[in-house]
Amino acid sequence: MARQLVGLASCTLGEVKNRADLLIYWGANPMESHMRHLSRYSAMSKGMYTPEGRKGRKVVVIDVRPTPTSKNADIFLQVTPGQDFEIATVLRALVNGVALHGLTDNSLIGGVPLAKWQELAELMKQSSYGVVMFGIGLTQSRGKDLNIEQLSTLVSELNKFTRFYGIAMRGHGNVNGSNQVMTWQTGYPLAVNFNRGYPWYNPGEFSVVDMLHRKEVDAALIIATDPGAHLPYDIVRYLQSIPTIAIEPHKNLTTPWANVVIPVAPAGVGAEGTFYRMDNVPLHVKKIIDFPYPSDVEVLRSIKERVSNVKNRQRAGL
Amino acid sequence: MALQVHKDVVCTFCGCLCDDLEVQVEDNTITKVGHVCTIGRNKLMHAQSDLASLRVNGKEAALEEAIDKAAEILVQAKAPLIYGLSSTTSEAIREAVVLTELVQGTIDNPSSY
Repeated sequence: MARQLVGLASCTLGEVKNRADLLIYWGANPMESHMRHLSRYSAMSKGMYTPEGRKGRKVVVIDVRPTPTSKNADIFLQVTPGQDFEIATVLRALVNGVALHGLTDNSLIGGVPLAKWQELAELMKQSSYGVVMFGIGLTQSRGKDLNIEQLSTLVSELNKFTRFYGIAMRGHGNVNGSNQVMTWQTGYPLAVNFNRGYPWYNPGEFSVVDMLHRKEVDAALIIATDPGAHLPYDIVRYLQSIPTIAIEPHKNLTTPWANVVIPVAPAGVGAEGTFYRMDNVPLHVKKIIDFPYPSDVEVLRSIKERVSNVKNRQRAGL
Repeated sequence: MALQVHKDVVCTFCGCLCDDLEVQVEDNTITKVGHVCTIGRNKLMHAQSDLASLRVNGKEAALEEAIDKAAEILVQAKAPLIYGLSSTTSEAIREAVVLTELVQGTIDNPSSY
């Protein structure tokens, strides 16, 4: 959402590997969540203009607690939770040379003295290729998309001094792909409603948690995600009370109670297709073994055909 | 026993999509995975176990029956929600968007919360 308001200067992971000399992980712990990120694409990788690998790069971690990622950083800034917006705002002021009246070097911003943020601002400006990689510590804490809006603005402002980019550390394999596909099909990346017969976008009104919380949905089709494991309890209880269809390869916390469970071949193992990497690069995923089940595409296509047959009959008054 | 080694396999677990995996397959069963993190290995080694089974209202069913029932639910609903799409192919997501338009529902993924 922040990207729609202020944009985001971004680069591919290949550029991170081959060029970046300053890496900032903000609210992200790839050592545990994206385990090969550091060795393949970022901190530890060796690339064309980064032959020294980790030695030639400066690594900064901003997080609310020490993590395996922060232990391997050159600079770790342990911040108080929920202060990311303030931090990004102060960094913008420091980078742009805006005077911060009433603050001294020892003033705490997000639990860290201003002098440290000043150091980071200088480091950012002096780098020749900086990348900030932000995770759910930033997107899912107080401020949410406003944090990203401020950070994206900081990233574009840094481009007045050097090359600086931002990358979202996307979690599941193709969660980026669903934003991409929805954007090229409907014009919007998520929370799209078709009740008027054309796409209508309004996060908050048409986002999953809000809609289910207000009980505005009377049936659900769940594909390749486990709401039983991820969504708040009251929402799962409501989902359990309405007809729910789950299209899912494995048993999970949704399949025991869904009214209809259609097992499918898992993408990239039993079915081929396209996935979007966190840096928006599309990759072809292969089918390597046969499954006794059809693919998601086949199942969705069959449901679509049945639905259009029924609709056509209704329209013809039969 | 037919042994195949698939090279440059893309791991579909996280947003890194590491594309250099080596997956050994014997008789249509994954037996070994190389160039991979522990999460990815676990995902691939267990890809063929704990599979969901086809059910309609808790009872075993045939695929056609389940698809009919799914279509019926979506047609009867006034405000259906199509949600998820975080671990499937872009081709499937495309079908899901078309289906949402057809049933005049709402489509969303986990990045909205």
